[in-house]
Amino acid sequence: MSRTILGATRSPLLTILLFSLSFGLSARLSAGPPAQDAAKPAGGQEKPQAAAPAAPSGDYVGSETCKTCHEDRPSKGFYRDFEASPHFVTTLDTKKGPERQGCEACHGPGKAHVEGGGDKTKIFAFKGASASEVSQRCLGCHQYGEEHSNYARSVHLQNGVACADCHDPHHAKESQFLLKASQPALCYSCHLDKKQQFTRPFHHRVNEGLVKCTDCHNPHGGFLARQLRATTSEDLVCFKCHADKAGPFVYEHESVKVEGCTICHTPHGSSNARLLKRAQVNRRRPPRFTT
Amino acid sequence: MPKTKKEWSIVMKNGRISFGWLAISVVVFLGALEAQTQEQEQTGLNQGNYNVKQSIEFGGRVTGISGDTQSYDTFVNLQQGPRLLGFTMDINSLNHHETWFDNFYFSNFGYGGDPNMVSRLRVAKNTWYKFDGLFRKDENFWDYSLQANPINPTAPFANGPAGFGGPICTACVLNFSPHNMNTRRKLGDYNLIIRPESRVRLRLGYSRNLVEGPAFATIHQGTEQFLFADVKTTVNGYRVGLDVKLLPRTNISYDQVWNYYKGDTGITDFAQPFPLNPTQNVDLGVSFNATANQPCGGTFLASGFVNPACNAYFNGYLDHGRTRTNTPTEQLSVQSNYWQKLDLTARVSYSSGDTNVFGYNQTIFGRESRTNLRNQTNTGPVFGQRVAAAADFGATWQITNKLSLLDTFHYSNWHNPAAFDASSCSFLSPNLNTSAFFFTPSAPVPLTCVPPAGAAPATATNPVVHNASSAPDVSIILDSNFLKQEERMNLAEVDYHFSQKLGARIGFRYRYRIIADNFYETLNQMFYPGPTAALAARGALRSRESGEPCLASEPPGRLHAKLGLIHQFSIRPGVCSGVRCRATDQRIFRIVWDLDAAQPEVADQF
Repeated sequence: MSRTILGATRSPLLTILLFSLSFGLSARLSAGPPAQDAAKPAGGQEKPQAAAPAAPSGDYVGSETCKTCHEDRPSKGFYRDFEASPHFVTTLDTKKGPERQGCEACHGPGKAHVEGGGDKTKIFAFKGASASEVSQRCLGCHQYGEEHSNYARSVHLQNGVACADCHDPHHAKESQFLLKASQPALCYSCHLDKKQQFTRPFHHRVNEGLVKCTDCHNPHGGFLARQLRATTSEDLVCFKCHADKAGPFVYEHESVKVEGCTICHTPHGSSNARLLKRAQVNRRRPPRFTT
Repeated sequence: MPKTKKEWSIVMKNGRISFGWLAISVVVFLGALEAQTQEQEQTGLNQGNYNVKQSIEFGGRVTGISGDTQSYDTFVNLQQGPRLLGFTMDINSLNHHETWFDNFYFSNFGYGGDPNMVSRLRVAKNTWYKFDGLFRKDENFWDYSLQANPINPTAPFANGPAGFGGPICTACVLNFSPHNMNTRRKLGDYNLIIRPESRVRLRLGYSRNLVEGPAFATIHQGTEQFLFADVKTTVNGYRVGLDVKLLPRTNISYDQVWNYYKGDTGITDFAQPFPLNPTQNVDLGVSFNATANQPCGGTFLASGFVNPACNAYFNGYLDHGRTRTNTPTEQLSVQSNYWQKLDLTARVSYSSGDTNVFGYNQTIFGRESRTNLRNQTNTGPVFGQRVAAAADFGATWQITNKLSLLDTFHYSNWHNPAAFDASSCSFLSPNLNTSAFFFTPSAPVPLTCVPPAGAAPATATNPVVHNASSAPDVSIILDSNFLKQEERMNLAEVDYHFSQKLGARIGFRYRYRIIADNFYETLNQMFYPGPTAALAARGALRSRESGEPCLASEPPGRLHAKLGLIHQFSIRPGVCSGVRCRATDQRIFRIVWDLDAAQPEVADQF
């Protein structure tokens, strides 16, 4: 039986694509004139100004000094993007000192850089720095919590993957966690082999957006193999969603509890039903192949 | 190549159609591209002290499916209809000092009928709080029918109802999965951090996991009885945590978690479509193979009714119990970079959970021809525990910019004792049309079984129709199982960076594991006599030489105890090493050698 989609029989895939595009309407509710200068909101009212930061001391010059050159450099709206980012709040807390505020909290003291006329060698630049150097800068503030506490021993850092390889404080595409790209595309940029696993017939709904890689794995490292997370009761992470399999049961399938779910299942994707490693499991003798 | 004018006309006509579609697609594509460009350049609208960005995408799906729709629903499940393809609202305060919130982000997609629907909400006020909420709904439809294929048996059934007779048995072919399920998952995770940037911060969290939906199942009891399961499980998790920065670059965290699991799945017989007699119908199961006498030889009588000697079931199957599992967990963790070159992490946790199944009841009502079973009831409390202790430690000593020592230690010890105190009553009858005959012992027995409705006392002419395969009439079984694993693992490595692109490491891994699987079972089984003198000698019962039922003075049953212990341990020292090379910004090549020298596992079993 040939496929019929409203009578079109020649190119069903193309027809589906066209109708999907035709029916997908994109409406922008932010009507009105383009966003004006942030300092002059609509209505002519002055933007409420935050309290001016304390005058910097020593080798620190303050973010306002950085703004004089970097307002639209290296890209248009560069400083405006920084103002809109979560890191800008560091400028508001003066108690921790200038070394924990604004641009200089990450790039280091800027006085020499300014006096050198923008000499790039006089300030820390993330581009070209080693993964350890980059990570040290970020972990200076972000290490204190279970999420990042194992980064020094993580597989990512051991393989030279720095914080800045996934995160971009200035030009984040994903506002949550300031990622360079959304999951799973960001993870697929290196882990291409996993991408093809998730396209298999039976798979966790990662490509569909229901599940993220970070739901099961901690990219910043962990105590368990493959940087897997655990449930709150230190059980397999699978039981977070598949709670009915957690037990305890009177009649246990011992392999599950002792070896883990991956002894039988491939959680990314499988050609076998129920994400099993083998096509047939109820056999007296295992087959000579694994599908 | 077209050779005739008519053929060319067809080609050109198709070409014009193709060109037309191409033109439309180009126009639509350009429109979408412009919309995409607009989205990238969206700067929002300033309203008061807030910058507001909002986008909404409505759309729809038009689908036409041919072939196996059940497979399509299993693998794709994108149905026709309007959709909320995406909605995003992003509100940020301009001065980061608003009253109630400084950042507000709300996004949704998939609503309207897609199998996956997700909503995310983030609200934060600088230095005061951060709220993160995630709601996901997943519809997992499973009807991957492996039965509907040409090799299904199609031999006709004599005297069978419509579809079972004729030249082939068309009704024998299953065109859906007997383990079909339509599961809906609703997952919610909500987290609140109070004073996120202060030296003391409080974390609160709540998670809810609801899985429900109808499903089909089967149970092998003579035939493959076709069952309907109303799946429902619920998990509620509550979390409280405290982070304290006592020393510079040192954080101590304490977490208290409570997890409550509820299982309320009930299973019943799905349908009884075959008439046994003018007033009763039965379920013959899902296996129909006349050649192999499935579900039995001569399944249908000349009258069209089901053969009463066949394996079949009435509308009486029930399998239900209320499972309640309560798991509190305490966790203490420390992270420190107090010494600049030394990075330390430690975590210890303890979890002790209880599980109980209240009101467990499994009832079977039908006929298992092999044993003459008609009614059986299995009940009894189930209780268990999961006790888990875990400790982890990690240290990194950055000796130089290129050389570092790493060590990771992991310890876990969990055990799951669980027991089922089961009581089982069985009643037998010679065929489906005859109710059970029950035996009444003249002396008290450990368990009194209430005869089912319609059952009659056994007599010499209507004895309890045991056969050599019949199970005990009354059983009291205590199954107690204990599964435990204790594991220690330590990985010590030396890591050296030759350059930014080239590095190597070598290490030693030690792993020690003990697994204990203990089982203990006591059986108290009572075998009542009948129908013949030979079968009167079932179990410990002895019939009188006259063949009358056992008297009270006879031992009513036998006690059997079984104890087993499987104890395994292994030690696996190993050497791990590897070289990594970063060829480009995105590509890392690794060569890793892992050599494990494991001592053989030793199992003691008795």
